[in-house]
Amino acid sequence: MALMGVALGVTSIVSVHLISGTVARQLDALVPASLARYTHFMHRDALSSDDYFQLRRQWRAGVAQDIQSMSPIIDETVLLNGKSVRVLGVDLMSAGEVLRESVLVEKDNSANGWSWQGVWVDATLVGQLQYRVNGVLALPAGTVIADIGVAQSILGWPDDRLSYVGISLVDRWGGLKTWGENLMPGFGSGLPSSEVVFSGLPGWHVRSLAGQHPASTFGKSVLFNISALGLLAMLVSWFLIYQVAVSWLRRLWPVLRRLNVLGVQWRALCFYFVSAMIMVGLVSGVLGLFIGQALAEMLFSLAVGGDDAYFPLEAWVVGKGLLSALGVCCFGGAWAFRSARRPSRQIPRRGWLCGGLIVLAGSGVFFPDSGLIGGFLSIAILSMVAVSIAGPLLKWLRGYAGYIRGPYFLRLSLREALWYPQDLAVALSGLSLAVATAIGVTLMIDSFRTDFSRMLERRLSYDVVVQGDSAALHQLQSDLGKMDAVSRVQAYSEFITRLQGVPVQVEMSQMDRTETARYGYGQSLSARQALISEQAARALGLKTGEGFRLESSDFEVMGVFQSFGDIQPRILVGLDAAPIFEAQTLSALSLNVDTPSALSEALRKAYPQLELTRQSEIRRLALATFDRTFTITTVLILIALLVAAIGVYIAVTTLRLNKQVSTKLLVALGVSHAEEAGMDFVLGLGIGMLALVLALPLGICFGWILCAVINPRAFGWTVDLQLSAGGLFWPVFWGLTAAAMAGVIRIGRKEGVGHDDV
Amino acid sequence: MVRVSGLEKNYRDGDRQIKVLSDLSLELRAGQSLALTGPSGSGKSTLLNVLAGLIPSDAGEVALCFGQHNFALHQMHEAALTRMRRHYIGYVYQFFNLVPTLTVLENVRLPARLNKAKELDQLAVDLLCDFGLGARLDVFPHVLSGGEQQRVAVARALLAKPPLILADEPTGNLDVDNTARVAQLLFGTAKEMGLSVIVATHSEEIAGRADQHLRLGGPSV
Repeated sequence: MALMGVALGVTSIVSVHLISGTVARQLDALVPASLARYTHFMHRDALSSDDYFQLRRQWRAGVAQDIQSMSPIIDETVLLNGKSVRVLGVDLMSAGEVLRESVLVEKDNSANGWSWQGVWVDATLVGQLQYRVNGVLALPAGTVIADIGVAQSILGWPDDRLSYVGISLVDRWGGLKTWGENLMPGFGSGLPSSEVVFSGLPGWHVRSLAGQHPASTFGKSVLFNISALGLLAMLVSWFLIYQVAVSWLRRLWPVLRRLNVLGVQWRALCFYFVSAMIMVGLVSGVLGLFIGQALAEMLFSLAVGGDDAYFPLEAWVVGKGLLSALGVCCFGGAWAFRSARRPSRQIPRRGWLCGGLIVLAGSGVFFPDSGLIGGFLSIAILSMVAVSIAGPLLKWLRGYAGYIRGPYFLRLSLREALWYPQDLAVALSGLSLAVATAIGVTLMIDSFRTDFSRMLERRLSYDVVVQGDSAALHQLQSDLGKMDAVSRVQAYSEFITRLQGVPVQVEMSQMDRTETARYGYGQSLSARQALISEQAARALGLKTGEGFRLESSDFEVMGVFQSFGDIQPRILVGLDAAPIFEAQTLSALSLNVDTPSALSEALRKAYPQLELTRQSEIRRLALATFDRTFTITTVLILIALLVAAIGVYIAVTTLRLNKQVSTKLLVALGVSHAEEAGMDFVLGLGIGMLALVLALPLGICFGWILCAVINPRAFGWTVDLQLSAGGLFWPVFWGLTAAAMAGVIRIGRKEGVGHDDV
Repeated sequence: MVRVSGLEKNYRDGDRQIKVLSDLSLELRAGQSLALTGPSGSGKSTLLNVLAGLIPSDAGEVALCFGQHNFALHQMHEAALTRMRRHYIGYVYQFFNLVPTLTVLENVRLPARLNKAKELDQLAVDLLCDFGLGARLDVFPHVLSGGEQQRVAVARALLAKPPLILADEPTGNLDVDNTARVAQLLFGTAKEMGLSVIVATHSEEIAGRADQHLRLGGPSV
């Protein structure tokens, strides 16, 4: 059981790490290698090459000395042959080498390997463009990379226009961050990102790489959440491993004490015990590595789909898994030994310590600048507070054990759950943390699902949504005008632009009452009014009633709408504002029709190039995607609960050593096996209920932090915490079941009357 | 009445077989007491455990007759043995006689509660008062002295008036004064109630109080 317990602990550590690492690599691939070397992007209105060269001169003169290197960049999206294509223009003098190294397939080779007038494309664009292709790169679908001049020509821009200046800033903590990222993939996105301002360069906005590529940032935020949850699973695993040490020592202690009486030094006995623990750690650690690898593959295919994921056991994960097992076995074993020799040393001023920790947790919650790490640090600190009061709470409750009444079996078992605080405190802490995490995450997911469903309810007011090629959409729009069955056609145009240097998606449509009601506003928008998403409000620092300048025109924010799942900040304006903007592409049509299924069928035949989705289908797909997103989270919680349950089982096994004599007495008094099993069940249930005393308030606290602190910081959206019965019931049910099962299950030798009693 | 004939009990220790009880026979009438003495390992506790149905014998017959109820232990399954113990046997151990998570009064009431005999609740209080523990009804056992704990154990064994009390070195852990007091309570109250007592002991004083005395020999390998 000790082997299995430690192995399971390592399994959870390894599987979480491998999944996080794989997702991190996939997210990194979203940013082309030629841009990944920049840490920040600088932007100003109507950026030109003159601005760039002036900036360069100022930099050379000593302004903004933190900048290590800079290059001009073009990064725009354009329609080419009916396809939406992202055009990246880079300085080939500096980025050419990077491009050449990342080429998957060479094309149209010239003497030096590639042509200055050529382009690099991803596999989906091969043969689709009328430009010479230098090579195929591993890029997000629909991406072209070319020299600045070529990119300007593709976009039809004047030859002095630029999108950004990419800069690389000195990062003093870079090495440490790399370590952190290797140890805990996704760690970097949790760090607070301070705004970079160069006082000597007025008019320039500076954006970080993360802010510039919101898809990657969004993904990494999800990843950080998973990793943080994995960290909690790791913490519970450490508790389990420590519990193994405590329980094993408890069994060995009478023998060790006798050996000491016979003259063996305590130091030698401690060395023997810790060595044995290290052996257990080593064997089970190796076992856990392989089981963890298999579990990661299974979970990944469950959550993401597909079976092409490969999870190599790299040095970092092997080190992390084995060091966890060996470290906790070694130090936990030594600590358990020390505690057994000098029991119950009080931590001085525990109350003050807890108070200080709670204040620290509060600062992580109430100071947004502490970022995602601040939020999770609060959760970690609250966990520490809960863990530190588990033992004293048990001791305090033991004083009231006499008040437990009711049938004798019940009172006997429930009191036993309070009677041995030193044996139970560690397992109780582990179970409390696991159940609290389960409660917190389930409450968050439930609340999120409720808000998400409400948002879908509002947004999906149209029967059919049509997306695809702009020309075909225009054709369809004119055809729909002639159809009686169609009661409303809503057309949407969109384009990407930059506001204060932030890439934003601007969406134009007929913003009458019906349309704005979908976004919770309910009034028509005039030409200079806009609705903005929560992400836009956060990124641009805007509130309802405030104004912003877009394409040289002033707009007023009339409302902020929830937009779960949006990656980029979004701004909605009415068609009256259309003349202000240059580039608009008809991107979608929404229809209200009498017979959606019949019309959908007809349109599918008439417009095979367009994608038609019915309202019910969108809802189903959206909710399915939502549920799949949280599959890994749910499985991680289950792993944590399982690990905690094994911790409780091991603690109960130790408890049985204490109970051995009273069990023998009860058997002599005529207590049957069934009654004994019933008492064990109630004992487990009692431990589970004790865990709930800590886990319920802690879990609700976690849920609130996840909804009100972590979600806004990670994704820019707010979720209203709802204390739903389901959100509380299932974690409580599973926690109690796990504890009750841990109480009932008996593996190995049964205590009874033996030879010693002759 | 307790009747044992041709009882054998062996233990295995690796390849060795230790013969603890060999061809043992005895008979004890209702209301009588029997003291089992002998060196350590002679099988005193084993015999008590066999009589309580806690361990099976290897050969021989064990019959307990309590009024209309007769039990042939060697033919009974475990559940029936447990039921028999609950209703007809009181047991006192040398050490750790009490359940630590129950108060003194709850410990004494335990066998009565197992038998759902709530009417014995007041008798438990009376017994404890008679045994000099009236002021300590609601305390937990760990605050009691060894002598007090053993008096509670004796009170518990006597409460339901089981026809047979088995006591495994009940005074082995006590000083002379407490030994005398516990022995007086055990034998005196049992006699008053008309209960049979079988006690395993090293104490000559305890053995001297019993009606019969059986000395067991050492084990043979």
